[in-house]
This record gives sequence, C-alpha cells and structure tokens, in this order.
Amino acid sequence: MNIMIVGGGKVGYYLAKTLLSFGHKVSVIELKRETCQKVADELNIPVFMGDATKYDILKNGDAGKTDIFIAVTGQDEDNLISCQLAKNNFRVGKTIARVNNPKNANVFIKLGVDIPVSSTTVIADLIEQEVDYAGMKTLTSIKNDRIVVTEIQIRKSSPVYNKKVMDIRMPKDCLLVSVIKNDEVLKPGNHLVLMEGDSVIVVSDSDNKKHLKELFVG
Amino acid sequence: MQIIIAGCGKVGAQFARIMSEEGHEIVVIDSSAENLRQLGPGFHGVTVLGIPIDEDVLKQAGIESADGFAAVTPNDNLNMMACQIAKEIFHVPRIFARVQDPVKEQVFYQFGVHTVCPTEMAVQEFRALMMGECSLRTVYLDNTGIDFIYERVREKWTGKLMRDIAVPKDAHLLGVMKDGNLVFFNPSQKLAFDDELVFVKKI
Repeated sequence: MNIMIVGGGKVGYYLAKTLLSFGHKVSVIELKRETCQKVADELNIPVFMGDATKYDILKNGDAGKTDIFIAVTGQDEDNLISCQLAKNNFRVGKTIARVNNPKNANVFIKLGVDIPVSSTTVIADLIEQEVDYAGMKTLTSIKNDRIVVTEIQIRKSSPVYNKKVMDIRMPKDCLLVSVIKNDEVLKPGNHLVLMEGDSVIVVSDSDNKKHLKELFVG
Repeated sequence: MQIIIAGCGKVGAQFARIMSEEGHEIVVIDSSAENLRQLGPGFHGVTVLGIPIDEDVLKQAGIESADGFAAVTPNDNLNMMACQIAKEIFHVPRIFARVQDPVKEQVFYQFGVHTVCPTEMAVQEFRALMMGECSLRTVYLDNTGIDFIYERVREKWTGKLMRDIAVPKDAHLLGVMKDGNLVFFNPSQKLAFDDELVFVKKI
C-alpha cells in the first residue's frame, strides 16, 4: 500500500521503518531540513520537506495516490488540518491522526479523521488491562473502544456473592455472557449461584465500568 | 452578544477591549498569562488561561452559549481547528478565523469557516496606494460578502455614457471615481480616460 506519513520525528521515523518492513511504499513529509535528511538517508525513501498543512506540499508529495495518510506530528492542529486537506482534496483512502491531547480524539472523529490514535490513551488502557483492577480486568475492547469485555472475580465481599444469576440486576447495556467455575465455562442460567473464586464475563458499554464495579466488586 | 476571542496578541487584545467597551460580554482565551495581562485594567470581560483546542477550556469560556467566536492566535492551523470545533461541535452562530498565510487562506474556505487574512489585506492596500488606485475591498453585510471592484475607463470606455457599460452578472455599477470623488450611477454621465468605475459584486 502507498502510505504517506506527516512528521519525521521519533514516532514518524519508527513508524515509517516498521511499515517499510511490512513491504509498504512509504513516503514522509517533514518540516525540518535536518530531520528530512536523517529520514531520507537512513530509510532511503522519498521525503518531502515542507508544511503538510499546505495544499501544494501535499500535491508535490503525490497525496492523490495515497491509500493511507498518517499524521503524527506533536501538534494536534497540524495533524487535523493535514488529514482534512488530504481527505477533501486528494481523496486518500484512510486518514489516521496522532492525538497528543487525548481529549481531542472525539473532536478528530467529528471533524472527519477516520482513526485518531492517542498514545496516552493506548498506554493507559494497556496498563489498566495489565493491572488487576480490584478483581476486574478488561479482556478486550471492540467497536472503536466503545464496547468492552470484562472479567470480574467474585469474592466473599462481593455484593453478588452467594446470589442467583436471576437476582442480579444488570445495568443497562451490560450483558452477563458467562460464568467460569473451576475452569468450567457455564451458561449464566437463572439458578446458577455465584461463589467465591468464580469469574464472570461481561460485555458492556465502556462507560459502564463503574456500575459493574459497584455491582460485582462492591 | 456573548463573544469568545481566542488569542490575546495585539489584534485579540484590541478587539476584546473595543467589543467590551461596546457592552458585549467578552471572554478571552490565551495560553500565556502574560498575554492576558495586556488587556489592562480597562477590560471588564473574563479571561481563561488555556489552549483553544481543548473542549474543557472552551466550555469554561462559555462556548455552549456563545453568540460569536473569533480565533486570532498567531497559529493559522490552531485558529482553523478551534473554529471548526466551535462550529461543528458547539454550533456557535458566528465564527471567524485569522489566517496570516494567504496561500492557506485560499484553501481553508473549504472548512466552512469565515477567514480574514491581514497579510492579503495589507498587500492589497499597499498596492492600491502605490498605484494611486482604489483598493479592492470586501464588505460583509451580515452573511453576505460584497466585493468592490474598480476598473479604469482608459481607451475602452472613454467618451461613453454610464448606461453603455456592460455590467457583469451578479454585479451592480455603483458609480465612478472622478478626481478622487465618487459620483453615483447616472445613466447619462460621460466617462473620461482617468475615471475609475466602481462595481459592487455579491460573493
């Protein structure tokens, strides 16, 4: 695939290197001369020096033939504008923008960026998945992180300990998918009783984590 | 009106003071406390310290109920992003961005944000002054932009009457500049070599 990367700093450089190793055709747009030099010399790929928020620079870089356009500079405003220009004027296939301020991820989606990537959020999520959050663990997330699959361990102190599944009032948009008892995967039938050491698997809206914690952990 | 001004440099500060004196509720956003101090004791509006592309900062500035938003920081891309947030997410009715780079301004219209390019305005003004001509100016009557277009009479129309001038579509012949004075349209006005016709055209 033809991939254009805006920003040749650390993120851009290693991204280009990684994508090259997958066999993609990569080019880079970068503002600083020395950085351009470095990327061009070390990776042996086309590097365009200039401001990627300018139409002419994108045109010179042949943005029209780009399948994936990735903006990874340290400035959110530059990443947004270059993605918008690439999308509106050169019909690039997909735009991906690095989000430096995690709060801008939603803004980027509303303003037309296909995939905003916030390294802060990615790292925070990874840490959260690793750390056993009071017996709650995020297994995976789908639908652009809006839906999460969570594993929760049942302890004696849990509000649902020794309760039947039918007596648990699940919050809205939360689904109890399975109960794991002694490594056995069980259907959460109405009369199944949750005991210490059981795990429940819940699929829910990502906003509902707090509710799940109150319900299952206490 | 409740107006938010992002950027408190020379333009932002002066704009904020004038609008505040006229009795509007002004909120100025800037990431530098020093810049905000420029407003001086005469300014009676509110200041918010922060960057204008942060939804929380904008909310703190009252963007959810703002009537107008002007982005006048020195960073063109920042201004465009802030204005797009104001427009698409908070639906502020009146939004303007200053864009210093004329090359960018020509492209940024596609984001549906009204831009003002001081560089282009100054260049046009200087050119006109240097050539002893009227400058091309755009005037906004609410949402309608009107261009003033000037054209010398020269050989083409010398001796003709104003009624003989073919007026371009969407335009009106306002009158003619004679020796530095405007004479309003008069069908039987005769045109001289150095006269300058003044057209107004809706953008």
